[in-house]
Amino acid sequence: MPLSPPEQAPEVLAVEGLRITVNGGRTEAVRDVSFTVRAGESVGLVGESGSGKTLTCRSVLGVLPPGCAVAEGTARLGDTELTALDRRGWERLRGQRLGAVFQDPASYLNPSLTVGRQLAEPLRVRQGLSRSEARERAVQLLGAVGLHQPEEVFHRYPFELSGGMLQRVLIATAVAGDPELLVADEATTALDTVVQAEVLDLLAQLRAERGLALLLVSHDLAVVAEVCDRILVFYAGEVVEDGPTEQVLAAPAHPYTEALLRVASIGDWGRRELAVIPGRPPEAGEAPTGCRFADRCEYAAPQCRSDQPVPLRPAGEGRRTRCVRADDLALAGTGREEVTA
Amino acid sequence: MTAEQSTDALLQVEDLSVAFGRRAGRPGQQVLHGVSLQARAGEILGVIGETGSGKTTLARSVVGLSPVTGGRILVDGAEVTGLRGRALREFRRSGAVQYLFQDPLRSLDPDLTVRELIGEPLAVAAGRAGREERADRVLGALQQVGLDAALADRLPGQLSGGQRQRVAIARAVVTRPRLLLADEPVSALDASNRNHVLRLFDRLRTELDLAVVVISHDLSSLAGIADRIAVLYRGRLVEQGPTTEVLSQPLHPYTALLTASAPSVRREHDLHPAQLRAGLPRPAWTLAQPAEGCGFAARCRFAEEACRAQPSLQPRVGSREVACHHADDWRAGLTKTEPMLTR
Repeated sequence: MPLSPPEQAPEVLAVEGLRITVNGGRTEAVRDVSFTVRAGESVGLVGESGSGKTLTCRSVLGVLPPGCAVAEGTARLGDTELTALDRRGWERLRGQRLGAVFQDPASYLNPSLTVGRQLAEPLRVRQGLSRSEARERAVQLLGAVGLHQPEEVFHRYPFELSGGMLQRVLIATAVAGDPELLVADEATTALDTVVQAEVLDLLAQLRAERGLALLLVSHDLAVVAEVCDRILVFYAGEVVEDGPTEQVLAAPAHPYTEALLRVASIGDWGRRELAVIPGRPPEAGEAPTGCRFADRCEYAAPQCRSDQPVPLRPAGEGRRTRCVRADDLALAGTGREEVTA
Repeated sequence: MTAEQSTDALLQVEDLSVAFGRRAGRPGQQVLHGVSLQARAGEILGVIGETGSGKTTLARSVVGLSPVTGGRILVDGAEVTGLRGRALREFRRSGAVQYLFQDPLRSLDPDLTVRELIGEPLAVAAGRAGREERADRVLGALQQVGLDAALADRLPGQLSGGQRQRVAIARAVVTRPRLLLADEPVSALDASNRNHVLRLFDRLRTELDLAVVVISHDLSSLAGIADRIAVLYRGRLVEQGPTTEVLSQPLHPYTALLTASAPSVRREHDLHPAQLRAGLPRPAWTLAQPAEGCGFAARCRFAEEACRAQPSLQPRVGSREVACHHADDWRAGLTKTEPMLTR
């Protein structure tokens, strides 16, 4: 269950008017993305592949793929402007103020070094710890991410550990420098259901213990729903809706969110007609004018197909939508009831 | 083996054991231990379990791709275990059993058009169909999976992920199979395409009177179409029965942990995974190598001394089966909802 951050906690990350181009600047892949993440808050970016959620998160980490660039907009981590950083600037940030975990943990570790050594080395380099201090701290971290017998695990090679254990090791690496923001890009996608739930609980626990801000990227609305205080729904390179998770799920303000909810896992174990979203998203660079979802939207009306991009506009307290008809529509939510634990 | 085991089962797996790397004098690595299950024509059987539980090995055994060391497999009443050489080739080419892989991009030849890909199984089933009949059946198969005939001349690389998986299904159904084995067919797809493909299975099993075995880790969408669910853990069948009953009232603590762990946009599971995770420290015997007793004991909150004996699969009311010494009383040992942050 999402934990609520203290009201008006300081902003850790502020992204404003972000525009990302691919193909060496020829194609626009992401436009007009603005959001903030406050201390202790968890924000989820959700959308289909190609919707721009991963590019957005990669730009925050300064690891955009070749040919991709931030063309407009700003991204601030605390008081540091990220889009202006050079390589050395990024080096100072990553692993210190900014931690990240990705989908395939095994490919981020050196197979020929023990995980303990890989965890301890940055501690020595970054924090100037001695060999034995770094070792002690590494074992402590391995324990803190829920690995049993951390002294044992310290001496293991990556191939000796399961995917879930490796992801815990990487989370330990990511939080070793006590970052302000942890970015998790499809971090649980490759894990088994049971392990995924454990890792999501671990992220929640780290947030509570360390006041960590979390930016979680997932194609799975159900995962985001379980973990995040607020969600941003991406479609075809734009944010189409954002707001507090509970409210967005209970009463979506954009037809695409409604459609995503219909096809998402609902924790129902009965036989039923599985819903689908007709059509497919526009290809990168197609950038239809007007509402980009209009062709797949059952509520599309003539005013949705204007020749101007649809602006993101307020839709109630802390919520925004990019649907021009949002006020006329009564979109169906989950009927989700708050469980009081 | 169940009492209601019947001959009308299209797929019948009896006491199947599989071991890899077994040679004279070496026992090898046993990955399936005496698994028995069946699927009838027109029925969808869902197989769930974590990585390494033997789901894929089970499916591959049916098409002769796993080293079976015990038990037997019958398809449409005929034993297929032990088929060798010409007999195995004929069984495979007949197209009565089709196997669908997770990643269509890697299982479809990138240099063949959709038309060639779907026609290939017909051409291989030598003498079965003339050129014209083949062309007709390719178009029929495309229609069956809801793909536009205009896509017939595209290459796999020019299709979306969902379309590619539907091409793979068209390729599977074009031989008019009796049994379709789908190994994680939707895990590479987004939610909408996942539902699209699962709905397709649901339609095809009726239209073609097909038995379908679907391996998937998305429990909620699988529950939408599967009639029965079999749960594997470490190479053993730990529970099986009608889908809704198994998933909403699990008898095995592992099934309960799985359903409680499944993410949902509506949190209304009656159990939280933290209530089912094993406490620490574990009893020493559960960590012994080689493992003794119940394979789930090391992770089971309810494991105790009796679990040192391997539990056998026992029949229950409602054509359910479970292999757990505490199937009837583990729920009584549940503590109230725990705060989510306890480990």
